[in-house]
Amino acid sequence: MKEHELYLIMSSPTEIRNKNIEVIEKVLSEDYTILVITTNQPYDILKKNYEKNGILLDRIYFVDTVTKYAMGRDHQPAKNCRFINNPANLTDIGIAVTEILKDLEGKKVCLVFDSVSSMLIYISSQNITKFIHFVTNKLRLLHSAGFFLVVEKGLDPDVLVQLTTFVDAVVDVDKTP
Amino acid sequence: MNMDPLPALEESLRQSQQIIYTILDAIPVRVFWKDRDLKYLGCNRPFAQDAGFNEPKELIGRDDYGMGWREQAEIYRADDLSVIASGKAKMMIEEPQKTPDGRIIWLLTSKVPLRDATGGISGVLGTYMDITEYRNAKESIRESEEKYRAFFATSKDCVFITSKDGRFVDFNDETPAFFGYRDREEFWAVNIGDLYSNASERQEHIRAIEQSGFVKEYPVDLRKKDGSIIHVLVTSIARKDISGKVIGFQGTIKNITEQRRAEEALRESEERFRGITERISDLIFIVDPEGYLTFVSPSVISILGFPPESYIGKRAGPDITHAEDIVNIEKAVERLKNGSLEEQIEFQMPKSDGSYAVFDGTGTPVFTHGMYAGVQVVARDITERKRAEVALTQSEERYRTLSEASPDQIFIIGRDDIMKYANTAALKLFRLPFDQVIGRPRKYLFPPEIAKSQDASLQKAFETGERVRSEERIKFGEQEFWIDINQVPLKDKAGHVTSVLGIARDITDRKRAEEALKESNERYLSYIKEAAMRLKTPVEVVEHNITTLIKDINAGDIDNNQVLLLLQIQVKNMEQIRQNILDLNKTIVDRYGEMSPASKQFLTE
Repeated sequence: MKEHELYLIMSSPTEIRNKNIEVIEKVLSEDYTILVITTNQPYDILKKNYEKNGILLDRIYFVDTVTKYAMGRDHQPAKNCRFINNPANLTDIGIAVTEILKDLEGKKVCLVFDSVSSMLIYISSQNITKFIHFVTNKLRLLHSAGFFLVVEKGLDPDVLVQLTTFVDAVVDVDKTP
Repeated sequence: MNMDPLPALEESLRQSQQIIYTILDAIPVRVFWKDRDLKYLGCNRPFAQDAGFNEPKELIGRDDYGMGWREQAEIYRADDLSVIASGKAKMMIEEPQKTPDGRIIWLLTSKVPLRDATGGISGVLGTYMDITEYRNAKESIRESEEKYRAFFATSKDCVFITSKDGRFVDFNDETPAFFGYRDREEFWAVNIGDLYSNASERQEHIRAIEQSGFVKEYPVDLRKKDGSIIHVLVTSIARKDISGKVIGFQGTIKNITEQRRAEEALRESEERFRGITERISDLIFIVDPEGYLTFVSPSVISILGFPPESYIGKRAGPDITHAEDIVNIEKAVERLKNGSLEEQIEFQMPKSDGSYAVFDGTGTPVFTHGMYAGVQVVARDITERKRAEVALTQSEERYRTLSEASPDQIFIIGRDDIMKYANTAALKLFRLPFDQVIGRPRKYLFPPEIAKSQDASLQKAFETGERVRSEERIKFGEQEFWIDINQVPLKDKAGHVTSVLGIARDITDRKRAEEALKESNERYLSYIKEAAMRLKTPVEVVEHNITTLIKDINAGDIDNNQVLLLLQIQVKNMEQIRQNILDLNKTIVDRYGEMSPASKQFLTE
């Protein structure tokens, strides 16, 4: 992993939860502060999994887009997590990301997006592409790093090509030793 | 007894005078005598009768002015005075005389001076004979001799006189050259027997002459000096002496070698002509001046199915051709009679199967010895060609109709880049009438950019002989549209491309439809892709989430609240996936679907 670089991580559906943890571990080892945008795993589950794997959460921030939507009510406030009412609400997600990144200004920040594939349940590929473009631009302006997880073979190749233009490298973790 | 001798002398004198007068009256010669004053003293009876009197004594004391020949009186008197004055006779003078009945006769006159006892000239004695018949005969002979001489001198034939043993007695100037000799001197040495190519022929020739006294145009082969044979016709008669014995021959020899050659050539030509007419596939007729057929070539049987002899004697127009052609044929024959050298005419003749064959005939006049002798017609069976032409015309008419009715622009451009044809649709495009399009250069009809774009494809069609097809977006005037241009090379019989047929079809609507379809397909494809991404992948995500949840539950690694939360998330996911399906269905149904409301409701609700 190089500093300030953006990666698109492709993984099989069965491995994507583990890859999330691996990425978090790797990024934390590089002294990054992490912003996780989750569109699949709720904050509580991620937190439990991270903790179960010995990952400290003090340098991890969350934007949870599914808990509130699934529960139909607000979650108890959490110090390092913002709950968005709907995964399709890209405006609120964007605001949350902007605000958190602003709060983390001066720190070595890495954004982890988990995952692009599950976001397709709520948002069209076109809008996802636009959103990713928005986020990657923001990360580049802040000289931050980023990981965008996608399910392998879960994207139309044309959309995948577009996404690859926003990042510095595409990593197929199933093929990477 | 009277012994006086005078009476006896007078009687003797009278008898002597009587005898003289009797003699004078009996001879055919006219005798007269005049005194110095040129008055008649006497004449014999024939003279008196010539002068229109009965008796000689009626003339005595008269002069020539009182005679029937008074118009010639001065001539006679001048002669008389000349004889009297000179004392010299004028003998055998031929002079004309007008008879009392007005005829001119010719006289052979002699005049001598009469002298008295002293020797002085007392008058003139004249005699004359009527030599009119003699003179006429002599003139006839002279004229005859003249003619003969002219014939002898100028005849291009050989004119000869020979002895019986073959020596030439005389021959005309043409004869030596006739036989290839240098001149008369060289030819004199020739014996006519040596000129026969076959010696026995001369004996037969002579026998023929002796049998009938002459032969006319007796054919013989003679040999020239250089040995070459000439074919001649000899016309000759036997020359006989007073006793009737043949002493030689005379006649003419006519060289017919060229004639023979011409006849042979004619015979060969006729043979060839016959051979040609027998083998030729064309039909040959010969029509006499009255319009009746005298010859029809054998090919007629293969063409029409009737034997040639069935046509002989029939009238060329009415009897053998279609009724509608008769007038034209008669007019053509009339023009040939009146000097036309050739007439071209189409006509039809019935065939044995009841149908008609069509002929393209060329008639030429036939002349014999410069006189119109009929017409020769060479006719070619063009029935198949006519059928093909009719079929072609009909076909062309059909294609023209199709072309004119076609909404496509159809045009033909020649190698010279000139517009040869344009159909109605093309004329509409050019916005010009037919006569302002045909014959004009292509480059003046199309806008420059279109003409330029056509250059390459036209050149390719002309050079390769293969059709060139292209689709182009063009702007013509204010209109912009798509055309499909199919350029088809048109070739002549030799396979050379002479022009290019262009068919331009306005495919703007099709192009728009294609573009719309393409756009639609792309959109449809994007829907499919989107559907795949928003259905297949999310379902996999949900499936995996549930699988993981089950594993976690089994492992006792998760509490109920968390299970509940994860299940609620999956339910939400599934609700959203369902909604996504309905949204996609709705989009597709709205755009493409033709279905019942119930089906529509099923797909979208």
